[in-house]
Amino acid sequence: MKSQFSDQQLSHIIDQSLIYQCACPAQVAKHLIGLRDLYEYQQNCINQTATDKAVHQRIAADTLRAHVALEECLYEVLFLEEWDMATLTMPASLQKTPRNF
Amino acid sequence: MDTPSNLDVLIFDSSAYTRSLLLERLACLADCSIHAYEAWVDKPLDQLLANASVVILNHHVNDTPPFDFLQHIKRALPDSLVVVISSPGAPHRALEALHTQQSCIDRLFDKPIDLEQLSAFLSERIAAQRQQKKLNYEHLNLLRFLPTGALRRIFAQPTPGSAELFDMTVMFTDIRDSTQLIVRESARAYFANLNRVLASQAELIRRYDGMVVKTTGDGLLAVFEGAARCHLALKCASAIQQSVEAKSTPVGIGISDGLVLTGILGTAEHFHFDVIGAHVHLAARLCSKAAGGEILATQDVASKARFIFESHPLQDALTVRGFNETVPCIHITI
Repeated sequence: MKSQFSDQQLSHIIDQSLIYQCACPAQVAKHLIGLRDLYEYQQNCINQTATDKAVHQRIAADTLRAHVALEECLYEVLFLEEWDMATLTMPASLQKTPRNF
Repeated sequence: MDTPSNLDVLIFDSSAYTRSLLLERLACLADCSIHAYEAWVDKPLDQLLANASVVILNHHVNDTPPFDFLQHIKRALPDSLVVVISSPGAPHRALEALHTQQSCIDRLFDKPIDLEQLSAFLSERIAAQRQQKKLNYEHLNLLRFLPTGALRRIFAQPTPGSAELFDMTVMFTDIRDSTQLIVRESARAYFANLNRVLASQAELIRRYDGMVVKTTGDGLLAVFEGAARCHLALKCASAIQQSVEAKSTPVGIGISDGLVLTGILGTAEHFHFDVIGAHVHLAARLCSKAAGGEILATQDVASKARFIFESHPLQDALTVRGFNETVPCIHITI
């Protein structure tokens, strides 16, 4: 599966968005990880019948399409939110709570 | 004994931003002291964890793998609640084994988390922990009233009416001139003082491996078992007489040693442990004759105890019901 973002990068994006309520890029990244898991899962499925093969091909194709679409979505979202694209760091303006405590 | 107090919640998070979020959002946990740390490496872990009841680790993908850390926590604090928050995917899979196979993690949350769900989970588990601590505390308190030696078997299957003979040292304590104290102080003040004095005596009796059988108004009845029972009873009596409480509220103490009938009295609904016999009467009689600050014991107790305090034979030999001859006694004044 070709990808713009590595697993490590997706985890790094998610790590910066701890809270469910302010985590749009993290939600997308989480679903990308889910798609990768799904793709890997069906790759390991056994094709005993022609139907099995067709099912798995269909899942693989649609997973890849969804993955490409969501990766583009994530890229756009990060760009719109002005993340540092080199380090994939969330801008301070998006952080919901002061750092000082 | 300390009562159950606030629970310590430790947060480990390498990111200042997410650490601040966790601190802020978990501040609502009732009666918890929350402490946050940047990392677990280079920290005196045992010191940090000494009172921890809950450990929350927000694991980031670039952190040092936390496997050793989490295993250490569960070894050091098996009753603690360990919660780990991780990114889904590879980080989650790496930690999953610690959760399901090694039980080093009690709950593994995926990011992004619903903080209400996390708070509700923690509140529920902390309440359960607090309840468990309360039960442990009450259990320990009850243990203080149970005997330690051979007597324990009576308590293992308490049957009202059954009794056994034991060689024991019996000790009575009694506050001197208590009537004057009652008249001089208010009833509430006297009762509070009485409780303080008796609690102090009970603590010392326990410390010297004795057992409080019951309170006797202004004093206690205690017994000591085992080969060193006479020595322990006299040491305990002298500790009581030297205590701060005895200085302000003088007590007399009587001690005797010999065969004592022990058992459970009462019915299945309500019963209590008691000791009966001539040596119980003798100890009570000695206690009644002892002046404030004085210990009266039989010569037999003093001989068996090889006690280091200076003792003097009692001039008037005692005649006690159940004994054919007079009983030679000694007195020790602290």
